[in-house]
Amino acid sequence: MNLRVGAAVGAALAATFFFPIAGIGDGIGDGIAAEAAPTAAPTTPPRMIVLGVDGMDPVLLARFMADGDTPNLKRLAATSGLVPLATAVPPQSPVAWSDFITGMDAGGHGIFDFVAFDRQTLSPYLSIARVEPPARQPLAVGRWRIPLGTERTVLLRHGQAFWELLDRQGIPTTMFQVPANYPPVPAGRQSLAISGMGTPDLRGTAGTFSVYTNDPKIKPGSVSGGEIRRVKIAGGVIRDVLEGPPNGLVAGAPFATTPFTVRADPVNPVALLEIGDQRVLLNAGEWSGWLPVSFDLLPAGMAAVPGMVRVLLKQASPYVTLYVSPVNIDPRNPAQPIGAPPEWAPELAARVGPFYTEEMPEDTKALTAGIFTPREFITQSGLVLAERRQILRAELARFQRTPGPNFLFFYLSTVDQRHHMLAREMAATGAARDAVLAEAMRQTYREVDVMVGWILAALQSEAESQTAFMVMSDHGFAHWHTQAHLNAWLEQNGYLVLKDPGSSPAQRERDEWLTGIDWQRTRAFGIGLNSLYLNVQGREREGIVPPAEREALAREIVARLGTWRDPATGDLVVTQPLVREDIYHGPRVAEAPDVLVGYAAGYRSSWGSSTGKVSALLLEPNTEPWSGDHCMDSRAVPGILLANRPLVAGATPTLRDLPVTILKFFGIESPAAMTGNPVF
Amino acid sequence: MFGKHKIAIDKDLWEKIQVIAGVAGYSSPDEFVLHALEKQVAEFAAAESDEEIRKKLRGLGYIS
Repeated sequence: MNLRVGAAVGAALAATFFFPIAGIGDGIGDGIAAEAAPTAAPTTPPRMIVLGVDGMDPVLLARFMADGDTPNLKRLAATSGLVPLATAVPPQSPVAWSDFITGMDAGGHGIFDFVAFDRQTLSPYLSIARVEPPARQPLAVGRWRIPLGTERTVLLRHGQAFWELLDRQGIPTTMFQVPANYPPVPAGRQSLAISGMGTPDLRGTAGTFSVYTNDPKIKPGSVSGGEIRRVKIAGGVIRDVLEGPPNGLVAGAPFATTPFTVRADPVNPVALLEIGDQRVLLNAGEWSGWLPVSFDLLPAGMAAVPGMVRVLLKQASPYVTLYVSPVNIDPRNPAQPIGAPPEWAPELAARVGPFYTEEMPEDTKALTAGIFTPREFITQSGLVLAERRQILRAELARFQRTPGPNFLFFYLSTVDQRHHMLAREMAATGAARDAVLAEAMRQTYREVDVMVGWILAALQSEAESQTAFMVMSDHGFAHWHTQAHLNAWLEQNGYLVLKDPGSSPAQRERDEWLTGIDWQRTRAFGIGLNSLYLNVQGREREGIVPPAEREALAREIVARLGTWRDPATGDLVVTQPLVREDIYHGPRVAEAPDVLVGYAAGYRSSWGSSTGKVSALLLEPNTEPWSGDHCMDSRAVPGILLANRPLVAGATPTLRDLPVTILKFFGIESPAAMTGNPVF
Repeated sequence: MFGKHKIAIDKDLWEKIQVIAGVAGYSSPDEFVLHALEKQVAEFAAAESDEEIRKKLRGLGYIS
């Protein structure tokens, strides 16, 4: 079946920029229909650079191109066209990037959602990697726990990464922060990799910031993605501790800590931070550089875990407020495997300096919690982008210095994370419009365009005249205006039953992670961002749906979901409800959610449903700062593809076409499991 | 320093354990009992870490 671009996206692109589009209508991308045109065998060793810009949106890019903001991307588009790149189902980054990496859909690679679900414990877990405990329990000696084995972090993505196949043929590859690759796949001697999305902070989370403040207006406690601590000033000094990794050597595994002090000037807006052997003087509003920190797990430094933080002195007077970044794994001395081979992270850091290693380091949680202002978020995410610029320069130079076949993949996260937080600002009009915030995405695209320009300049030399260059993204974006409470829909349509159907809204809000569900009477439930599971006998721990009735029930729910309308507008809420058997191929189909819920553009699974709550409401406005999203109908949020060579005539590419394209370019036959077709 | 603890097992249960341990290939009934207990404890340990897992999920911007 050919891909058809969603109607809204297709019309917008055609109106702003002329390039070939396959057509407008229904259908799920399944690869390019046209036979691939043979490419001329390169006369020089094959070399390729792929720039992966998470979340780069074709409609936005077309607009910025037309406005003259992205001349380098426009140069590329003059050759290949600005082509929408069909994203994964569901269009979530770990799923989409896994499609790109393996050339399979989720039925092959097994990543179906950010949030996976354990059918025996009825608990969620992060889908990309899982920590497996040691085979033996630790030995208890008083308050100490002596490990008798080591815990292991296991990458849960299945399938061969395309760069493993390149490496096997002796082609050097560099994969900088390709998502869904933590711990990084150890390929052969020719490959270098730094892990990206999926890499935890030192606490093992997706990024937990800390705030230390004596401002009475800032309420202490835990917030999503952070901890806010009330501090006291005694003698002009704040003394507190920074929390690091859980100390598994101590009963109860408390967080290991390291002390620090802050001396705030009572008159001038400056403060002196002392942590470890670092002494840093900061003005209010100033960011520190990376500060190494160390957490003792055993007394007298017998076992210490290194990390690093960046600090923002938000305010120095009349109150002190200090934001401390999540404790990142220090690439100079990694406490967890972030590089393959392990020595590459320290080598890269020695060349370019320390850099954010946690996944998606742009601190959207700090903005959501009101710790960052939108401008502070733009500044902090700008620090991330500045590091990436520096690393790209260094890696581009190394690519140019390395003759022979070579492949470089470089990843950028800032476009995606900023778009999540600025969609409402982009849509604002009149008095509500803040020009700086509204134009921040345009500025972001300009900054990416400059980086594209460096790459294009590097390819001007004779030695690089045959080097292929692609810019691609995993999905686009839409303004997320309405939350869809999937579990409420399931309850109101008789598929889900609560232990207490008369639960108050407050109780329903407390009962997250599916704890309010009566498993003996529930046939279907939602958790994660696009996943709907059936409660099947012999599969789910408390299953009641006979296996023989599973598929029919899934199809019944799909049909009914497709009739769910927003009473305020009459619009459909779900435009792409799919039974897993209709879209997935490969050995992992049986692990997939039974139904994939593709919400209409503008709608997304509610904050509550994604964590297994059952609201009393069906629909509710999304008023959070996280106002842009893409976990919707995949046809509404395609990514982009640009290249420095023409694409196959009539190409309607998907993510799964790209690894096949790469392998073909290097003269390597793709394995049968890769289901795409080359785009050039 | 390391300590050991004794528990009393009913005679009938012990006889069943001996049979099962032999059939399942354990080197002794003691090994079977120890393994069964370790597995059960590990399940509880995993349950304790559910909260840690949920904290990890919350770090994702997509989840509140």
